[in-house]
Amino acid sequence: VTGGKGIRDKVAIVGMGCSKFGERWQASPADLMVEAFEECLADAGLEKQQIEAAWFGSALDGFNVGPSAIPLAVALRLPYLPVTRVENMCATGTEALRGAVHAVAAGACDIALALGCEKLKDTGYGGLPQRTRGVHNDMFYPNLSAPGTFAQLASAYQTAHRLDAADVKRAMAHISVKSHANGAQNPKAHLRRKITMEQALNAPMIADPIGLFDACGVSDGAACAIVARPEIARSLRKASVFVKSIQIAVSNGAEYSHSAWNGAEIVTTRLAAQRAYEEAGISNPRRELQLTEVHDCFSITELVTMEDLGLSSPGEAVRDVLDGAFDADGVVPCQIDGGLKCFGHPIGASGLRMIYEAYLQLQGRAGSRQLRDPQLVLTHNLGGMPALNVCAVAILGH
Amino acid sequence: VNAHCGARAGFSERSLADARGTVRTWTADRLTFDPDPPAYFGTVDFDGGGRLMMDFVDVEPGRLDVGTRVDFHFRIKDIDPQRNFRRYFWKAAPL
Repeated sequence: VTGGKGIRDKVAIVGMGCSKFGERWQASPADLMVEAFEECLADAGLEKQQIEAAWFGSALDGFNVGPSAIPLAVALRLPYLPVTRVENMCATGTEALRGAVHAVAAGACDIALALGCEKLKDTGYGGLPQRTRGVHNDMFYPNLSAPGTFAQLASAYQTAHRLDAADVKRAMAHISVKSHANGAQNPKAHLRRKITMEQALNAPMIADPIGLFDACGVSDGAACAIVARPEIARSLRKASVFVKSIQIAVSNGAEYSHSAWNGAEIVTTRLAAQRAYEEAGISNPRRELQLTEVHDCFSITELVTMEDLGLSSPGEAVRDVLDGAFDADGVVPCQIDGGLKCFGHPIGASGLRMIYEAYLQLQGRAGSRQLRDPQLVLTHNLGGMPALNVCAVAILGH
Repeated sequence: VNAHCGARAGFSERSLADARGTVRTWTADRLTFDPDPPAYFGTVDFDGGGRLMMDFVDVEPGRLDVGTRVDFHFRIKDIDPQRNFRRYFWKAAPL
């Protein structure tokens, strides 16, 4: 962390809400926003009029709510507040929270709202909708799908660590079996059925080696947070959750166009995590974190992220995963809420959904999936493709 | 802008049409549209420096892997049947 003094413990999350994720045919984007917001407001014990500013995250405006901050202001009938709309690919939700947190940390306002929403199932397509990458990139980019971009991570990871393809695939399957088992415990999750190793290993191939169960789907959903100065948080409740750090790192094209990067790690995840650990005062993440919610858009992403976050040694994630280190009863559980894989992935809401689970877990309110007394939780929200992306890492604690 | 030294000038144009390269990452994508699925693409490192994510062409199933040597061909990238317009770009073919 360079320059300023950072944001550690300067902002508390005083309320959160999250809609049910899934195929919400009967709900409009506005309905989803209201559902998340009403839970959040009641949780905070505040009135809507006490909110001074808002940040709205939605990624694919052409497919759901439309551009600008207006959809949020209209859905919640916000009292002509300053509302900013942010978009940073799949890291949009954390980006919205970052805006609200920075405003409070800077003293620009005392209470701010961050809300992310996406409604994707109406496109009638199982994955992310095919969309233009602009008049320039579309001239030369391969006609790639999202699984096609992250599948390449597997080929490079396996080569870099001289691993057997079957072992990597088994670890990928274990990750998805674990997330399905966790998601089955979560009433708000999109996918709530357990699966077996055999199902995961034998599922139809999407993009080698990513099979059907190695890929998260997309969902409809919204999630939000109200953040405030610590003094306000203390006046509202006892068990506040504090923001220890929110860091983002954005690719500058070096991985994409120079040969130094081996393709087997996500450069931005490593940098964002390093900055976040420094700001939060964490030196040994595997010992100090009790839970991670990571961007498991694909099982291979989660596998590699365990190394990028320093939770596994280089080349050891396959063994750690197969040993159950990140299972619900493991050393550092990952995706206790089901993750993108099963809670679902409404793009603009996902970062805030991860924060929502961290918030519940830190307050001991996560029901049947509650972990024993977590102190520090990390969320990891990644947008783009392995070679060119935005990574947001947040750390929350007491 | 050069990512290492920050230089903004002094670059020279180099033709890569006759260059060769090495596959660094690859996949066979069955979700995306392709007239002849699966769509093979990945990252190619050019001999002498530089990298591009690009389509692979003339791939025999099972013969493409990290480390495969490739050369480059100017091929049809897609066809717009409504406007009868063809778009071309370079693709990498295994040697």
